[in-house]
Amino acid sequence: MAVVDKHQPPSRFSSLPVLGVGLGYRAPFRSDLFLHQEKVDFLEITAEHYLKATAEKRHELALLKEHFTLIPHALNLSLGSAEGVDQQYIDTLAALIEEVNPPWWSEHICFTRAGGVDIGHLSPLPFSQQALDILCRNIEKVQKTIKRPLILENITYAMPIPGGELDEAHFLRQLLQASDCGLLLDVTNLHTNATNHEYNPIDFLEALPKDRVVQLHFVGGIWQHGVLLDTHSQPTPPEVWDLMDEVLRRFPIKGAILERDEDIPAFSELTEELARARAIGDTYGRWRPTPETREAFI
Amino acid sequence: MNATTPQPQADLSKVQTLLARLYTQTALRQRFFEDPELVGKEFGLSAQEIQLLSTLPPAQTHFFSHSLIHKRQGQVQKLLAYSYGVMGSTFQKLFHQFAEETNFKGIRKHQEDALAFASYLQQSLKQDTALAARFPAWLGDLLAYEAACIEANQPSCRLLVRWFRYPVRDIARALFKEQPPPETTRMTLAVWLRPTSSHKLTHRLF
Repeated sequence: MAVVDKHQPPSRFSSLPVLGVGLGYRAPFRSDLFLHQEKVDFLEITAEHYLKATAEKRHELALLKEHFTLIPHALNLSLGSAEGVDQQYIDTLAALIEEVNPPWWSEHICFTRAGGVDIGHLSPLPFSQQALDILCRNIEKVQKTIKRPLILENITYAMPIPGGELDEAHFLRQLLQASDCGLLLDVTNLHTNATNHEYNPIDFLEALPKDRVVQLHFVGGIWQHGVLLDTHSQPTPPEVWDLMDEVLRRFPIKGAILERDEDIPAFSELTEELARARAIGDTYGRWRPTPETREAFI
Repeated sequence: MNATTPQPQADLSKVQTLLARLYTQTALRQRFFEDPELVGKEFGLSAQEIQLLSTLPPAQTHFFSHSLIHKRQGQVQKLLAYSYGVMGSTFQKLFHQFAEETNFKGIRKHQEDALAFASYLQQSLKQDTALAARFPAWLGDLLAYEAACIEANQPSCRLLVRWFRYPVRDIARALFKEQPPPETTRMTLAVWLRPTSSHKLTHRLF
């Protein structure tokens, strides 16, 4: 079973609304999305696509917001940067989040910038106390401007960064508790790391605080040179579906997003995956978005 | 899954600065794995920090770096889709050379990356006749047209006017339909207009 501290009061994440099963929004399937709106409970949008946006992108955002609950998913705040986070970036992001009015928003546990270099992707941190302190300091700064609940996503890593003192699951547990954040558990990333670094994902799940796991990501990747990559380019594989089942059995998840970025298939294939995730959640009585939820956040 | 023995603390700021360079610069990465102490000292790392980073596995670090360039290239390919369609693997090969020397920051970094790479390709086509001979004569114009489209899509751009020697829109349409593009020159004036930030972009060719 997941770890539950009986002396801790329920976190604020317990009371977040249930959103159901949705999609990471990608422009190529926009028309199909509106034709099959009833099959998608909510959308996740890439926040950076709408920062300092053109009139066309602002119009797109307004249209999406009119029809769906939107969750902004940020990529480049660089919460793990030892040099700190950019206040101007925070302010720009805050304006978007204010406009979208989501029940929560998300970022990654990583750094993307250091010493004037933008790495261009999510780079792992050492699982150390120092990295925890830096993350908490940066998150506190962000939370002074953005009051909306923040959930943090676990990333994949090609290799552990030297200097780690904890395993990833205990690092996450300490981070979530110290920073008052929820977890966006990317089940595919967990499967990818567990496969590449040869650990048991169930042990990982057991270390997580039960009431902090808010949202899921799922999708499929590819094998390259003996390494499993999270390319977001394939249907969700059986191993990830099995892990999803385990996660949904254990945690009171509020929403799950299919995060397909590349080689996007026919829309019906995407909605079939959504239906499968919905069915797994139904087995454990998880998500049934209420009309009130939809009313409150669109 | 218990905590392991605590290790000596490094200055994460300095470590991240070097990591960011190692991930994005092949020559530095190769030099580091040949002599971590020398490169570490250049970056002001202590002996302890150098010792820590010298345990980075070279193969996985190279692999991660290649995946970064691959992701960056993927974004640029989408923005210069027609030119990529014409150039194929040469586009990818030249992007890897270009990416070694460049790094873009900020919200519109992919657009800036694509603009700079389009300019790099245009220069390469002008300077390298063997390279230019492998592609249609209108490729330079097509690159310039795709770059202008990216530029015009910046929120601050109000008016953009460009001349082309070839009928760039007809070429793009033919490529989209997988038909043979027109080979003959035809002077084409392209105009992009967005009167205010709340207006949608208008685009006309004459």
